[in-house]
Amino acid sequence: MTPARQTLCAALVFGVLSAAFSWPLVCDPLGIHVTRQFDMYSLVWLSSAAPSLDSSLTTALSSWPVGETLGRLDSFVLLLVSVLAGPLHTPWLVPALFVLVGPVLSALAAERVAVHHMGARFPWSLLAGAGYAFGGIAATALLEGHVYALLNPWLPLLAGAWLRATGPGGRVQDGLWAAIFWVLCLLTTAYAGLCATLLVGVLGLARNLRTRGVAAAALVAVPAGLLYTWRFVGAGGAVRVDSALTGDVATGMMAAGSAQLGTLAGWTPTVDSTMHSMAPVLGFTVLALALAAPLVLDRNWLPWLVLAGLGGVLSLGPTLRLYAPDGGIPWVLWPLAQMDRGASFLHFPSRLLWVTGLALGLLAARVASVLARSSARRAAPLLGFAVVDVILGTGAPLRSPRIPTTAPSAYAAAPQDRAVLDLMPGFHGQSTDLEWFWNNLSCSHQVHHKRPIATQCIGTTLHQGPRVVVGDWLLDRLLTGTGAGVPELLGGLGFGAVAVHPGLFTSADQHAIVDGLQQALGPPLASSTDGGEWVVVFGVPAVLGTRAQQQARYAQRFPSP
Amino acid sequence: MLRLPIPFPTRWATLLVALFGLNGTAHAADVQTLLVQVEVPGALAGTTVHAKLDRLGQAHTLPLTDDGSTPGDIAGDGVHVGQIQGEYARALGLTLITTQNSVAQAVFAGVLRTDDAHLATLGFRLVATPEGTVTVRVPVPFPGGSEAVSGLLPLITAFGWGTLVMIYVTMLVFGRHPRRRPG
Repeated sequence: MTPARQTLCAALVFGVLSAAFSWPLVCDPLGIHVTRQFDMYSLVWLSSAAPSLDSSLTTALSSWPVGETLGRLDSFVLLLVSVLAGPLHTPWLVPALFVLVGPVLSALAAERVAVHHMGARFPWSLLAGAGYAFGGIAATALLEGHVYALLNPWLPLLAGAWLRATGPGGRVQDGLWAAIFWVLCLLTTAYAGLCATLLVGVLGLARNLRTRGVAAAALVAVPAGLLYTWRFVGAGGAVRVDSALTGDVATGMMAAGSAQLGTLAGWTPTVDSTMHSMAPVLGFTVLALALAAPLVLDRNWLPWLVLAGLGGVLSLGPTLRLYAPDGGIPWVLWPLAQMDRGASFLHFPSRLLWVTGLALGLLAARVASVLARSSARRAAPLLGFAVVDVILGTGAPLRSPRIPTTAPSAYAAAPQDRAVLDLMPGFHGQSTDLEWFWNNLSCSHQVHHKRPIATQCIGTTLHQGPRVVVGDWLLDRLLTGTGAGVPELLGGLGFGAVAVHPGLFTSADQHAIVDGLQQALGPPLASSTDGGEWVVVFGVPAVLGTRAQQQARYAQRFPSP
Repeated sequence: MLRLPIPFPTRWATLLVALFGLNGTAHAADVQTLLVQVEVPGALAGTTVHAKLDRLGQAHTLPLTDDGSTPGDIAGDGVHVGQIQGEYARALGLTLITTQNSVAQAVFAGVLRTDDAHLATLGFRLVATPEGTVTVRVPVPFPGGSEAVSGLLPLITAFGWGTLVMIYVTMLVFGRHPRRRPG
């Protein structure tokens, strides 16, 4: 089979695998999504807002009237794809593309690198793609909703370019390609950047670093990395870190974002209900084959096993646990977790398993190719085993819900040229996931109704932003029966409507809030129960003023503590 | 008549449809089924349970029974089940009320997500403690009458599967002929 046919065949196999992995999204990619948690909603908001960003990466579409900076984005690749897709005006298209096409491209890149740089043969090279792009960490990204992580062909391409750059006579162009792929990893997600750095470090130690290719790579990657770090820390420090963060809390947060020994082997329904769907299951087929590498291969297996092991060890985070969110014994990242603020930049060590999946997949492809020389017939079931790992091992299609992407129609009654304040209760304690869920869901509704909203859509801290500040003030007024001055203040801040979600309040508070809003703002403009929610929209009388004046009023009325 | 302790075929059919989307696409206009299941342990035998729902602005009272009258329910297995159908709702307000010896007690109240377009299952377990009855939210339905077994089933299966794969790969490695290491 020619290389072109191999590539086409691999693309077809991975395409079918991707459709099954994210089933039933392929049936209705724009009408439903299949994520269980809440990251998808802010992601679709971002893909919709991206084309309207100014040069300072600030938008007035969210966090009204203050506006929101997107300098500390999770994925600049997502931003770029969203800008390019902007003219299509189909906001749910970008997330669907990342879910359906992303793993295909990532797997294809790993498969080709296995053939060209690891000595694997088709079809055994397919194991590299399955191990890398369809592992448990990919299922976690899918179910949690940070699906931009699924489109990362750069990591395997970096491996290939770096092997060339550090090989005999490493050329400048190989080094430049390696640098470009490393930067693209960094721009895909910060964790992909960490994975890329681990790969460069471990493989580099085992190879020749005194080549022109390595010098060229350093010349591009070092300044780019410093620029990114400066931008990331500079833009994120103020909103990322809770000033009250203590060592225990930081350790707990990092532990929650870490793999556990049990979740590396399999998932349970508990993972989806209380552990953010975090089951970064390692495929048993690629794991078993990679562990057999010392017995089957003569050379070049040790750096890959070290890389896979390092990613795995680090992914376990600050405490080693069998299968529980709490407890455990101190592990390698324990000292980092004690650094309080420093720990807040590594909340999800489990995401380092992307590099483990790649290393295991590449090794497995090579080992299977060697085993198949003795008997291809006896090695053939390995491909079937890998499919079982992808579908049943990760459990992705069994765990995916089908969630409509529709929005409540009542928003359409809000004045088009002014902002909307979503009024909902605060969820605290064990219900904080609901806070994120409803916050992010209101961001996704904006994709449909197009008005600016008070909700903060990118910040990763809870109970912050104008929606919470103004909403809490308004709820206090309504529940204490002191609604005087509500229209003037809301209008003065540029709000044209209050969209109250009565079903989230207790029945007693529902009546007090709706009655209070009626007294203050008059009868509702609209009420709807479509889109899966009960939403009542009240109009706010317009108050003249520029956005700068509205921002000044907000700062004066609600000064920062 | 012999009755196997497995779920009704109708339940499996519902699960298959929900899991694999065999009936095509999902839209908000489709009918959503809400299943509420509460496991009542032997220590609380005689307790009756009902749920009050606040769903899309409509109040519902849902009696939970263990007499097999709800589709998929196994009579007398200790799991009390109630089911309603209606317009798609992303969430609902739910209050669980138990009655024992004519004393009614609210044992759970809160807002719960019911995102899935077709089938949302809310599972709970009552636990008798010296301080009174405590409600635990459980993540899975009870196909065999026991949440604990069905909850751990994927993990147990994974370990079995992993062992099988390891054995097969080991056989391939040591069964090679000739035993050359071509690298």
